[in-house]
Amino acid sequence: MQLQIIDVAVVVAAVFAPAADAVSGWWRATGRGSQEPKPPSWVEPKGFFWHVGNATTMTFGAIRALFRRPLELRGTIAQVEALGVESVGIAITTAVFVGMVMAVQFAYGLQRFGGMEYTGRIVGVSFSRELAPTLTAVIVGGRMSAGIAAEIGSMAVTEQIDAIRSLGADPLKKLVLPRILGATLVMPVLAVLALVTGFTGAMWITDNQFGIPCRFFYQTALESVTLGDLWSGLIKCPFFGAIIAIVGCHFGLVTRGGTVGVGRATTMSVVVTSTFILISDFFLTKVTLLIWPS
Amino acid sequence: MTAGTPFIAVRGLVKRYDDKVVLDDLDLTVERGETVAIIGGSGSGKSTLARLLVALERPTSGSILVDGCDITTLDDLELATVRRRFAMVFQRHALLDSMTVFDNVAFPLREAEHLPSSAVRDRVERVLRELGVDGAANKLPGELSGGMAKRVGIARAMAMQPELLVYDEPTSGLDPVNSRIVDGLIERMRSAHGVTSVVITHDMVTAYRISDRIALLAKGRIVAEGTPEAFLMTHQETVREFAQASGMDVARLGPRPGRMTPEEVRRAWYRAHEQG
Repeated sequence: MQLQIIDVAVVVAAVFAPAADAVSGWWRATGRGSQEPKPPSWVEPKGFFWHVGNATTMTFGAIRALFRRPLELRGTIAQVEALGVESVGIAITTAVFVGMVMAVQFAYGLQRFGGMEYTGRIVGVSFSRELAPTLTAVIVGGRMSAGIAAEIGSMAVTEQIDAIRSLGADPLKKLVLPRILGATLVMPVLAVLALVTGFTGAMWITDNQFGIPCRFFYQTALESVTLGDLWSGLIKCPFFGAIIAIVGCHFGLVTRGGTVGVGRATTMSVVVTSTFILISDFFLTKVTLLIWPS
Repeated sequence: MTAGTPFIAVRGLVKRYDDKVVLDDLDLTVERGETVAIIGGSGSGKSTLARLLVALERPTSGSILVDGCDITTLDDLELATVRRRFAMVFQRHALLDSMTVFDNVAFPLREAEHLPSSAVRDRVERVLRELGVDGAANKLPGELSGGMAKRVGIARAMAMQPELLVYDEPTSGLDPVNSRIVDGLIERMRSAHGVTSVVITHDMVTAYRISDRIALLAKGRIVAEGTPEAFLMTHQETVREFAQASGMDVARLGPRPGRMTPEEVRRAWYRAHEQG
């Protein structure tokens, strides 16, 4: 059954990507002009394909730019700071509280069946396989993609993207590539931080509220969590990071219509990022279960 | 390039956005070293023409010949090379607001020309000094006045030492004093550096003062073309309507060296318009 779902996903991806690429007619190397009409709504079927096609073409363009000198090291480091370092606070805060909520809920639930001592195992496995990467991606991703869409969108409506192109530089290399690289690099780090702090929060609350010693919680979790569990969670992070940056950059680049357009692009990027993270999470989970079965 | 080939020759240019035709079978020629002003009302396709000239967009059909070579058929890499010969001064200056004035002007030199840092510094300082904004080198674009931002936009374009400089509404949003200063700068870029210029404007005074030729764009086509003097004296209805609607004050016209004196222009203007 698992194999069938993966097969279908692979076939869909193989058919969908070139079709979407073919649908997009606008992003040739000269790019989309700021004079062109505003993009269609992504919730309509035609608009959906339009957006997917353009985002795909943009991504391939950015990947091609990766192999052209000079490397955008300075820009990438700046994005690691803007997207990663500045997201540490929100990632830690949410992870701690989600960890505590998880621990409290499981401890209460398992208490009824006399299985409270399994709390550490369940929290450990669920955090490392799913919660740390996905929850961090959804929460931090909203912030990141909204920031990217707002910044690039503002540049688009004030002709700064056109200026970059007219000055002989490639916006895909200067703007899109550093953001994709930056988000891809920082997401695993943020997920590890969320895992450690979320688990610590869970450990602390179960010790204080349910009298499960930290040492016991920690040891039972370690017994249950395998290296495969950790990898199956962490391997998703670069994909989530890429989705966040691609969605943010795409909606930023196609922004039209002044400040209203920037607001619309920002909102759409948050919605689409969250949706795509959760959809891709399903497929990535299927793949990781094949590679690292429970 | 052969003798007699115009620097820029636009032939049968059509630009459509979905069903909306913005430029419709447009023809235009620009000679090397010439300043051509393209005037027209809002939505007449002026800015689209400017963007097509510097290869920021591709036309729906038609050709743009640069030294006889059609740039509309070039692939992306070839187009990138051609684009380095052009520069554009944007309507809202389009300075990169995360960078200082110095870095904005240095941007094309670092990104496109890959010059060493000492050469970049020398050229940027020289251009900023020439445009009178060297004191603002370390400021961010948000800290500049409209007039200064326009000058920095011109400095950034000039730093590339382009063969063709396209100005999109260079005086829009500026007060009359700053508008005339920008006019002077455009004229100086032509006289000092021999840059071929296409000035997109709806400001008839600017068009009159700085151009060798004025072309009126209406409904996606060039409907009238001529020297500034001939343009003002014409009896063509569309031109007269535009000149009158633009509220051009012939009394404000300054001297144009080597051409008719302002007094002669004024007399001819009144004569032409009284006859009309």
